[in-house]
Amino acid sequence: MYSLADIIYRRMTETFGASDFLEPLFTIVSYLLPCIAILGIVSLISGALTLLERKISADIQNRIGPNRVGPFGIFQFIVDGVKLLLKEDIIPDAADKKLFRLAPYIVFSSTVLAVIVIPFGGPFIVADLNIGLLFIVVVSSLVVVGFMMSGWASNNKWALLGGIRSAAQIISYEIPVALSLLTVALITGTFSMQEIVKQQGLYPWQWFILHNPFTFIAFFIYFVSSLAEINRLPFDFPEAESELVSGYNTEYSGMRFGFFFVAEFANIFVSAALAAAVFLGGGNIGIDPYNSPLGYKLLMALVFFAKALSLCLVTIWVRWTLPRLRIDHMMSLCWKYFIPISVFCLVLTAAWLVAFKGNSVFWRIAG
Amino acid sequence: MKAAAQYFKNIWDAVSTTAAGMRITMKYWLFEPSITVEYPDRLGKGIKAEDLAADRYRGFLGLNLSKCIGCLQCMRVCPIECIKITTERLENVRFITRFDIDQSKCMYCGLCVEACPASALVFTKRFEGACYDINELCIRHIKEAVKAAAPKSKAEGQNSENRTGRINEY
Amino acid sequence: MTEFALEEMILNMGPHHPSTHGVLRFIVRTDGEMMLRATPDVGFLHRGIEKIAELMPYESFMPYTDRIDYLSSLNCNLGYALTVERLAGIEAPEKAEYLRVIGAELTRIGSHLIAVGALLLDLGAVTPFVHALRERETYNSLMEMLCGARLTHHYVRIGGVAFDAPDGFIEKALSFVNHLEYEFLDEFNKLISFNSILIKRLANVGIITPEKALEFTLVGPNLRGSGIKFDLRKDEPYSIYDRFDFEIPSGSGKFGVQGDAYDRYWVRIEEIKQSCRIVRQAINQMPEHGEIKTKISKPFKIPAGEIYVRTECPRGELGFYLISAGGKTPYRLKIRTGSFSAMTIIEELSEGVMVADLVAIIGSLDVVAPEIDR
Repeated sequence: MYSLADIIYRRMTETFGASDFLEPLFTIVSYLLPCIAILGIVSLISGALTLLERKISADIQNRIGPNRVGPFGIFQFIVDGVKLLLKEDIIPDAADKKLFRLAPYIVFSSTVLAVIVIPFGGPFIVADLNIGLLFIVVVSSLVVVGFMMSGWASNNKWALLGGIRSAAQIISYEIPVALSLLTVALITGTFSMQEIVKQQGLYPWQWFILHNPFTFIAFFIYFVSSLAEINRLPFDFPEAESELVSGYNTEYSGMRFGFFFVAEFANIFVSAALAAAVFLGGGNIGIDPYNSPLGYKLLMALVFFAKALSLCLVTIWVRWTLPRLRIDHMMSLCWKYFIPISVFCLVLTAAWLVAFKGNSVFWRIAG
Repeated sequence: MKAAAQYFKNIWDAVSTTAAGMRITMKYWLFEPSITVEYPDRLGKGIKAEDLAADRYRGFLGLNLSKCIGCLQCMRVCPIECIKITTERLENVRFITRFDIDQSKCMYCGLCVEACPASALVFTKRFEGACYDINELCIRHIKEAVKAAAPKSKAEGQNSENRTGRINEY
Repeated sequence: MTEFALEEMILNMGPHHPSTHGVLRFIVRTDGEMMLRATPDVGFLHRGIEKIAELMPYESFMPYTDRIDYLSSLNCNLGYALTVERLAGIEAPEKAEYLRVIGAELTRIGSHLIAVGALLLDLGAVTPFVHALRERETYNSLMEMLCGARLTHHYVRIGGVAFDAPDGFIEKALSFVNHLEYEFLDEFNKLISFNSILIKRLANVGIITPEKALEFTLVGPNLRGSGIKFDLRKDEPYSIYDRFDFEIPSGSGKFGVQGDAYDRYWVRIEEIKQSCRIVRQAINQMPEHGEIKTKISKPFKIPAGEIYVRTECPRGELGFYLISAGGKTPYRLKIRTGSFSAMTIIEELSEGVMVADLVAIIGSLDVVAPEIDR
């Protein structure tokens, strides 16, 4: 178990000397520092993703996109954030005020919690839990609570419909997501994210997406299901603009809306990062992540971000191409297509591992 | 068996049509230039907003007072009565004492311009009418009484060349 | 113990809702996602246009016809002009008729582009909508060249048209229709029309059988979507539409059942192609020189009498019923529009569909709020 927290903890004990009295303080600080860093990074990334989304959608639609704030409009998202902060915070009279206030924080914190176990390449991971993969699956579905809460507390029928839709959708799509991630867990035999990354390599044929034909299918199932989990088009039912006005966040304004907004984009990054780490080799460049010079560590992080970011781009690209499904089609897609296929992939991957003694398709090349 | 074939055909259809759509959006994403005109402040060097309008553009109404004969035709034909003219006769000379065009009411239909026998009333290309007080848009063309121009012969007045001739004052 | 009764939810969809195409209101009774009934509530955009007509001279009412349906103002101009001309016994010059047809068909293209685009926007596809608007931009600037206005054209006059085609207009119009028919629509279909999600959303939704379409007096593309080939341009040619060779597209259940939302969508796409053909033919046949306006008497008076003239608007039959008492103003003008009859069928179609389907049905019927209320 090597993680950022462990490294900081060890550094602290080395400098200040181990003592029973200071030990709880060391633990708290060693987890707090990376967490604060992660919060900043996630906010920055989701801000950058909003800008990217607007730029790409503009390009796809022969428009220019934001270009006034800073060179090429790169500071647009900061200005947007300031605008959201300065806006009047309206809470409807008939709303359940406590739940109404609480909901955005639940959504936001459950998203950020998932980032804790994302391996950013090299030693950069807040906590390398031995149940890392499960932790993400569990925590990311906590979002539902926040969505339901906001839908119910708003005391608005459109918001309520949006909240209920999100519950139905996210809970259904948990299953194919978890099953397709399990195919990889079968191969690795561990849920630890660092370990999963470590078992892959620099070259594509060492990645788990190309381990066998079934993980290949599982990757696409994971990717499409994660679109549904993070409420992106073609699955953006909870906030389907033309149907439910704005869905669960209809009544929100100001920074409360901002939290939903940031969480939405942070979710895109989390799901892309998870796919990059689990299926696409993460930040593995074939070097030991712990005992290597800082330059190599940063290179690993760079590789990881490149992979995650390109998956984010695909997510955005899909959104600006497809129309929205209907809710019953979405359900039948999940229960009739994704779940059977992912179960099929899981079973056949297990069969593959038995038949080929755990080797991948490219085991001769990979050596 | 047929159901199974349909099942896989559905998957294939979804994948192939999505891929076809995404190929097109990618083409626009990477290769097609934008067609946005960055109105109002980045139109390019020396290009004014008015230059973007077509020659026949129906913008604010402009009045060429030296041509106006005070016949009131435009006032009569206007469907929403946004033109107000008063004339007075003093010792056999017609004076126009008031010529107000309420641009905030005007629906830019062009009936008055067509009706004008002297081609005094024309469309300009100006279209930016934003202001803080709506009364500013009621444009009073006459500050003090002006002598009405003498009516010209009909053939001259109806000359279509004059009709499209533009003036730059409002 | 509290007893929980299952109750219906009554939703107010509109007047301010992203997918009601203007100021429309539906009182929607739902059971969760399933819709029990959606009752349209019209009248938010009533401006009393018919009464205004009684108050002003025949020529002065022309700009108001722009506002009957702002997406196809030239077609409305044309309908009104034909009505007055027929009652007054005036004929427009040949060249004016060609210019009218070119303008009207270009407007039809522009209107269908926005109809199709808005339907897709309601279904969540933003990019095709923007691409359709991009093409509509060319149409807008074409009309700006022709008559000086981009939306409320006011181009047709009683006895002709206002202006001759300016230099470069013909070439630009030709390249526009060629681009539309041979390049844009192919790409657009590949991008979205044949997308399996779109087919799933539109096929087998909001099915209007031919009998039902006649029962509810649907007109225009909505009627043709049900498979009835009725187009006033062909069946009761007005102006000079008998000189052109074009087909009437009709719904055949391309991906579902005849008369479903996809058929209505597809009919509009096909009609854009047919309009391109008409524009091309009209440009080729149009005389180089000639009068563009017949002189009308001043003050313009119509002998007492009454007439009903109907023309094919992008939203279907647009009828003007005009009664003249011999004076300078009409005694009564009744306007019959296609969107109003399309609204009546929504209540029937909405039973037992999902909320998302209601949006698709409204979009596929292409209702425009000001046309419903006038």
